[in-house]
Amino acid sequence: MFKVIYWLVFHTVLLFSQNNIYHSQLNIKIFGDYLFCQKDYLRAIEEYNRLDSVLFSDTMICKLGYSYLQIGDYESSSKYFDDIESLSPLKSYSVNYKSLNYYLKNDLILLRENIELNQSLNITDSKKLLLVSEIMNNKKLPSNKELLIFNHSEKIFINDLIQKKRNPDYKSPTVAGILSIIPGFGKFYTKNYSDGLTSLLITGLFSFLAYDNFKNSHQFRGYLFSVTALGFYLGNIYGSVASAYRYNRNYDEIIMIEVDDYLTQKNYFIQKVNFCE
Amino acid sequence: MIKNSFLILVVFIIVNFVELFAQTDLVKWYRVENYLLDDYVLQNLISENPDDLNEESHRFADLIVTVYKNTISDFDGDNCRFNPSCSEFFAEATKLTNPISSVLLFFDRLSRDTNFFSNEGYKTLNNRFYDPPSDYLVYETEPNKN
Repeated sequence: MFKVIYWLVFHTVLLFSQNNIYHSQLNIKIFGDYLFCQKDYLRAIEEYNRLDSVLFSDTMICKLGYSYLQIGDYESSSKYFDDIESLSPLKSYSVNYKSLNYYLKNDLILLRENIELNQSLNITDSKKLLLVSEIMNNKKLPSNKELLIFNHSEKIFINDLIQKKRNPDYKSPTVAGILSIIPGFGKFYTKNYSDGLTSLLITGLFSFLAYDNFKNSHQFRGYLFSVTALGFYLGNIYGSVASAYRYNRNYDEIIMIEVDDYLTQKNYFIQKVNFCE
Repeated sequence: MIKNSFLILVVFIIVNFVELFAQTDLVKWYRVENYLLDDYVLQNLISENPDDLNEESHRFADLIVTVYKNTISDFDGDNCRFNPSCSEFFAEATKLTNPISSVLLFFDRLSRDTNFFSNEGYKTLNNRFYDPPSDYLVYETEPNKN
C-alpha cells in the first residue's frame, strides 16, 4: 500500500514539473523588460539580444536604442533608432533620441542632417538641441525668431547663455602680462589675489636683498639674489599670462557644466515616453 | 676668530632647532607616488605641443630632479602642498613646453608654493592641491564641446 502511494505521489509530481520553460522567448522578454525598468541597461541589452528578431516591435527597438544610449554606445543606439518605420507613432521619439546621440557625440553636421531629413515630423525637441549645440560650439547665435520654439522658462536660460557667449567674462593675457610689470598685478587682474600678493612680496624681498648686498659690496650674494629676483619676476609675468588663459578655460568649463546640468535636468528637451507602466 | 665661532654656533643651534621640529611625523617620510596624471593624457598633450622636440632638455630636467630627490628631498621629506610636487612639476613642464618656459613656470609655481595667505581654487588629490603644468599652458581657448 505504501509503495503504491509513493509511486502515485512521485509520478504526479513528475507530471507537473518543468512544464514551464524558463528560457522561453516570452520569459526572456519579460526579464529584459524588468531589467530595463530597473535601469540595468547593460543586462537588459543582453536579454533583448537573445530574442528572435521576429519578436522585435517598435517599442522593443526603442528600448534597445535607449539602453545603448544610456551606456554610451551612440553608434549602436543610432542604428536601432534608424530601424523605426516612418509610419510608427514612435518615429518622432526615435528621431529626437537619434539627435541626442549626435549631440552627445558632438557631431553637429549629422545632427543638422537628421533634422533636415525629418522636417515633416514634430521634432521641436531636436531643433532646440541643435540651437543649444550651435551656441555652445560658437557656430552662431540664434535670432529672436529661432528662439520662439523655447518656452518661457527655457528662454530665460537660453538668453542668459547667449549673453554669456556674446560678452564672455574673459581676461586678456596681454593685459595680464602688461600689468604684471608691477609684480603680482597681473594675478590681481585674473583674481588670484593671494598669489599676486605673494609674488609681489617675494620679488620685492629678493630685489631688496640684491640691492642691499651690492650696496655693501657683497658682489657674489648680490648676483645670487639678483638672479633669483629676476627668475621670480619673469616667472610672475609668464605665470600671469598663463593664469589669464587658465581663467578663460575655467570660465568656459563652468558654462559647459551649467548647460550640461540644465539639459540633464530637462532630459535634453526630449519628452519622456514611459515604457514601464 | 671669536666672531666666526659665534656665527658657527648660531647656525648650529638654528639648524638643530629646526631639525627638532621638522618631520616628527614619520608617515611623511615615505615618498608618495602621488602624481596621477594619466600617461595617455600626458602623451596626447605632448604630441599636441609643437615645442616639445628637445629630448636633451627632458633628460637634463630629469637628471636635475633625480639628483634633487636623492640628495635634498629624501632628507627634507615629502612636504610640497601641491600635487604634482614642485620638482615633478618642473620635469613635466619641460616635457610639455620648452626649457625657458618650464623654468619660468617653475618660478611661478615656487611663488604659489610659498603663498603666505591661502590656496584657493584648486581641486584636491591625495590631500594636496592638484596643480598640473598642463593647466598653465599658453594656448587659445578651444571651442566648447558638449
